Amino acid sequence: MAGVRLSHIYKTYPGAKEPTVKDLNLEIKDKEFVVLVGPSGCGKSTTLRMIAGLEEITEGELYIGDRLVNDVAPKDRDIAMVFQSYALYPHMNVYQNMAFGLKLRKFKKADIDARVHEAARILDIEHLLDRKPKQLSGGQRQRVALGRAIVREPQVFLMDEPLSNLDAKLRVAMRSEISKLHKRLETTIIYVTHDQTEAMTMGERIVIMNEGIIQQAAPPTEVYNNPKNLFVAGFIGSPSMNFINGFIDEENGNVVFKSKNINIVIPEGRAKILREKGYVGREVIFGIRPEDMHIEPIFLEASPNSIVNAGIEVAEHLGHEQILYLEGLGDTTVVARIDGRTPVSEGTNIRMAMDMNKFHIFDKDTEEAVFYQEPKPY
Amino acid sequence: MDWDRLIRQLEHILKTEFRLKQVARSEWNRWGEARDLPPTASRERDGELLFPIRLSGDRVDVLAASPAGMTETERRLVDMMLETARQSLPGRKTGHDALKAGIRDWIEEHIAGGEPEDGDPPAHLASHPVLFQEKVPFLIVGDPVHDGEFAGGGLQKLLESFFDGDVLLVPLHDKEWLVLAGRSLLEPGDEADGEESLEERLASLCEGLHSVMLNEGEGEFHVTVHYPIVPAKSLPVTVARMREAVAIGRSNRANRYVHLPWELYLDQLLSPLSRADKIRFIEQVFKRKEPMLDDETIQTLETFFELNCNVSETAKKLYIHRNTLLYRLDKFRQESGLDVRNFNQAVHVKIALQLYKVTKRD
Repeated sequence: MAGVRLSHIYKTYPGAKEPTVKDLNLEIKDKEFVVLVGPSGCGKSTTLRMIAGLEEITEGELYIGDRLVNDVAPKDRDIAMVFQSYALYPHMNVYQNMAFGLKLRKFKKADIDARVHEAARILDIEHLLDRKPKQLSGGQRQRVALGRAIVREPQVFLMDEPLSNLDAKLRVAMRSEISKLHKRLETTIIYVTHDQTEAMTMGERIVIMNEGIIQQAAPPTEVYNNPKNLFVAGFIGSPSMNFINGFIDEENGNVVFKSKNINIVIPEGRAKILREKGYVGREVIFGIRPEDMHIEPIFLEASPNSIVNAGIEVAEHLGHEQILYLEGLGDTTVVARIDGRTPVSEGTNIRMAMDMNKFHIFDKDTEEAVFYQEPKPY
Repeated sequence: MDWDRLIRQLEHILKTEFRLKQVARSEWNRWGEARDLPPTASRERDGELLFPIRLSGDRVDVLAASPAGMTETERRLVDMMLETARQSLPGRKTGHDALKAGIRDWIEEHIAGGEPEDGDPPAHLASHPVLFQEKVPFLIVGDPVHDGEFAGGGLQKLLESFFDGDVLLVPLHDKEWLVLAGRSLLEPGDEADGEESLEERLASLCEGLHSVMLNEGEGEFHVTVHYPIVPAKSLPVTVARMREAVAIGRSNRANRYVHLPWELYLDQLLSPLSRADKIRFIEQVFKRKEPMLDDETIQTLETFFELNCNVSETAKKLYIHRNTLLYRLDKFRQESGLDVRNFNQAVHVKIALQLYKVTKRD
């Protein structure tokens, strides 16, 4: 097993004006499960393909373990890859599919047999070893593709959207299977997905990318609770964080956030930061997650300074919870997530209190989070 | 190769005596030049028929026999038999490489003139059994990032393992290889195999070939396949068709590496249209210069068409609720005036969408 270090990596495709990946610096520890996540075209797959050796690195250094591998062929990097198109070899059975790479590398027959059976046992596909790929379900095929990678016992696993071709139910099941596999194999995994739920549930650390730049690299809860900028705050979480344009003012010695139908008092600790950083009197973006807006009486009583009144435009009942789309607050539709048992009706008004320990303020120009705290070194 | 055994077999069948002898390479070449014979063809000299069994350095090992005891047909059969035997020699590389070069030259010669035509292989290839057995042709096109070992035979070794030895790899242009694999790959192995169509089996093999090169670290390549052929009859035309499939697939389908010709018929039909004609068609269908096609709409429509306009299957594939899909399709109808649940309008949108993606990339 080994860690991976990307140092000042750039990737510029021939003829392109701008690099696809810009000054990427990332240190992935041995045995760590890191997920690269971001919207389509953010550079996450290009980064993984550079680690795999499928794309040339324009500038910068890539280390696997202590070895500089910029000029090392993919087959000599001691990595195993699992991709979205996990095509199996159709004329070979499951055993032969898994054994193929080892046979090519002239492993002894007994070693091949031991590795294939061990991987099959881990993946619970021992009973399928004699079957041909077409006799397998989508999930079983995906397991065989994983098995093909596992038997190699590589230093690093690279996975590029490996669950994309599975249906929603199977994806959830395979998500936890891969996480369990990581714990069991104790190996380094670099996983690429565009699905933030996959990233949040699987990664020990998630790396959020946009326009070829790392926006934030941190454990899932850290990214969720302490987003570094507007992009990260909006990308992680479903429904997304609400963003309301407004400005910071000072009234009767209190620092307040003001927007249409909103006038909420900022608690003193955070007010102090806003004063110190010179945000009083300036336009900002206020951010609050849908689950941090409450209608419980006890919360309303305890938070008299952060109550807002809004009209319920749409109420989506999902059983255990309801998603409310609220109008009349600031310049946008605000989304709130409330308990499924609370009776609410579309077209009526509702009083809600914002959790003033959970809100965020973003600089309107830089889009950086004003209260962002640099975490302790990971 | 056990030449003694082979000689005994030939003598037994043809009732003619064969003996091993050597001739100088320069002499051998000179005798062939007069009749434009390739080095591997037999010659008649000084009352003897001479069959080459090994061409190395400045000498040629030959089997000599009397022409009196052999008909022309028998002579050609011996030529073919020895050609096969030469292929199994440990030092066969020279012969093998000559065969590959010969196939490459034959293909390029037929393609060079524009529209390729079927044509017989040249005389020096005509006796080679590879060209007369039914083969599954693949074309591999790409640019390995680290091509040191690749060029040195890494791919040949990999393909031999993948196709269980029954494969010929012919380098064509720079970064382009022709693969001829045995037809036996497509023979049903069990009951489940029989249920698959030929296209499905070829697609699985093509995807498997792409996957094995990726998994074994050779790199990422564009791959296509063709229906099985007898190379001697139609190899140059087949290669031209496969080149066309890769070129159109690369240009029209970003991030796709497996290009199946039967999925590209519409693309092939549309590709000769001028850019102006393409844009005019898009404008006519969407009734505006810049159609409102965001990524989500494009993905939704493409998946909908891919799944035969089946709402439930499309929603499942996109991981969205059926009602969300219906909402998106209605939204598209309101904005464009086109209802993709209507066959004729779906055809227009499908073609316009395909052209839109191509013109956007140009």
